[in-house]
Order: sequence, then structure tokens, then C-alpha cells
Amino acid sequence: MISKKRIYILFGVAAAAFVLGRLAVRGLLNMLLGGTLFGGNIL
Amino acid sequence: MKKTGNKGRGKFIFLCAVVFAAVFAASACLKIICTPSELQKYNVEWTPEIGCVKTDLPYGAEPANKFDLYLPANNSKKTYRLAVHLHAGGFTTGDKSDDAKILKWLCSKGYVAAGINYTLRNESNPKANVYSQSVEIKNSIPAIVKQAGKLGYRLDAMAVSGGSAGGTLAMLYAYRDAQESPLPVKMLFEAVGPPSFYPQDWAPYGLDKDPQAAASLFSIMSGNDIQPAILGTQAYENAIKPISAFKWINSSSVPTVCAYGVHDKVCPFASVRHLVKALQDNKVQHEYIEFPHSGHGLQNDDKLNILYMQKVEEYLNRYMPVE
Repeated sequence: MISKKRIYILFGVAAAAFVLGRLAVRGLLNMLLGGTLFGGNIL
Repeated sequence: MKKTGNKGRGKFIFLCAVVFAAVFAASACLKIICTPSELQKYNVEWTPEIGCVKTDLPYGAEPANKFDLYLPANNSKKTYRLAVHLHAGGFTTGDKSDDAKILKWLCSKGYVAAGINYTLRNESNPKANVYSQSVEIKNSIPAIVKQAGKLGYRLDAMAVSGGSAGGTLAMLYAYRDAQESPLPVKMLFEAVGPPSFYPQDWAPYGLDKDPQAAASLFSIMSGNDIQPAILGTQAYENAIKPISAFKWINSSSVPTVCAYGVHDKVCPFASVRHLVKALQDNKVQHEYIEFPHSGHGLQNDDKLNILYMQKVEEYLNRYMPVE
């Protein structure tokens, strides 16, 4: 049985991965085409 | 007891790593695949009720001189309007089929839509350049009008459009060649097409600091022999005029919708100011949409992408109404 604390940690990890996944694509496209990492579309 | 605890912690760290990798990959894929809902209406589900496509129709002697025609299913009208869209690819790559989505959307609005290939500059065609490509586009329009007529679609007006390299060629046709067009050109829409070629504006390529490289690149693009010594002189202005769309803008130029990214590394943003100034100075009806967070893909400003398409639709309805 997984503890409540570990469930919260898992949610945190998933949220960070979600944000970083989108930022990674944006960063890659910015590197190729130009653009800012923040601003404009949400993430 | 301690061993069991360490083992449990190890398993949990492994689980966290798996969750991170899975969500990271899913999030990246979603970012690539997903289109904002407001832009989905421009993605038409192509059916015979909308129209049909005639592919690879010839317009000249070169192997690349082919066009695709998207014909509306309703062929009972007396006249139709032509919407041309020219593909991107840095003048060296790309194909008319890359623009199938927008061509289908234009056809679904009742236009005869055309995607045109032009001879790309590559190892097989070392003499192709922006000017020769623009001449091919100019030569393609009479053939398109003739072919559409043969297929039962009599054309009486046109719009020209494109993206990136296609945007430059669309501007050259609209601003430079419209007077000789077999159809009256009613409007232009384009995104991220280089409108001017001054070394100081092409800093992302280092051309502002390297006259030899600037002369070499712009010689290739224009098809004229440009020596570093003539940069900044009237001789240079004359040499690049045939491919500099903004130089052909006058008070009779067609209404224009254009979009550019402030951080564009491919079509340097500094080159855009000449276009905007020419449109303003000549009081040409236009919408210039600047994407403050985006580069060449206009990829970071979805709201402005939606605005761009809304303006395109607004201009089409105003200057190219489908009766």
C-alpha cells in the first residue's frame, strides 16, 4: 500500500514532467526557429 | 528491517522515474499534436461533397513546373475565384502537397485553389534562384486559368498567398507582377516571407559583419553578380530590386494580411520593417500581425495565429467574396 505522502510526491513529479515536457518542445522549436521560452501560449 | 525500507524506497524512486518519463513524453507529444480549437475549423475533412483535386498539371518545360487544382464540387457557377497558395521551404525544398490543408480549406469556401511547385535551388538546379522562381510563378498563372477553364471553372479574380519562401514569391507576384496577371489580383496573405535583402538586417546569418558572405548569399538569391564593393550603393539597390517585394509596393498595391515573428532567425525580423513602412507610406490596406514571443514557426502565440486566420477570412470575404 502506497502512503499518502508518496501519492503527493508522485503527483508533484507528474506535474513537473508535464510542464517540462511542453517546455522541452518549445525550447527545441525556439532553438531552431527563434522564440521566447515564456510568454504567449500558456506553456 | 532497514533492508526492506531501502528496497521500498528504491521501488518508489523507480516508480517516480517511470511516471516522470511517461508524463514528459505524453506532454511533449500533446504539445506537438494539439491544435487550438479555434484553428480546427481550418482543418477541413475532405469529401467528394466539398471538391476534387487534380494533381501535377503542367505549366512549363521544367520538371517542377506542376500545379495541383482543388476544384469545388459545385461546378454550376458562371465564374469562380482563384486562391493560390505557395509552399515554404527556404527556396530549396518543399512541395505543393505540404499546403494541402489550407488549399482544401480555401476550396471548401468555394474558391478554385491552386498549389504550385517551382524549381528549387539544389544540386540538380544550381542556377535556380528567387528571381527565376518568381518568374515561374508568374508564368504558371495563365496556365492555371486555362486549365481551370477547360475543367469548367471560369476564373475572374484571384488572391495569392504563401508561407516563408512561398510568402516572398506571393508578395513578388502581388506587388511586382499583378499588372501583367491574366486575372485581377484582389488581395495577398502571407506569413514570414523575407521581403527585403539588406546585409545589416540579416544579422542572424552574420551578414551584417561579413560583406563577402552577404554578397555571395544575395548573389545566389537574386541571380545577379553582387560584389561586396557595391553593398550600400544604388547598384546594389538595382541588383536586389527584382526579389525585394517591398520595393514594388505603391499606392495601388493589393490589400495585404501579413504575419511575422519578432524572434525569427530564418526570415530575420529586422527585414520586415521595410515592408511595414512601405505598406504604411503608400496607405495600402493591410493587417500586419506581429508575434512577440515567436520565431519563424509563429509557434508561441496561438491567439495571434487565430487572429491571423480571422483576418485572412475577413479579407477574403471583403475582397474575394464568393457569390
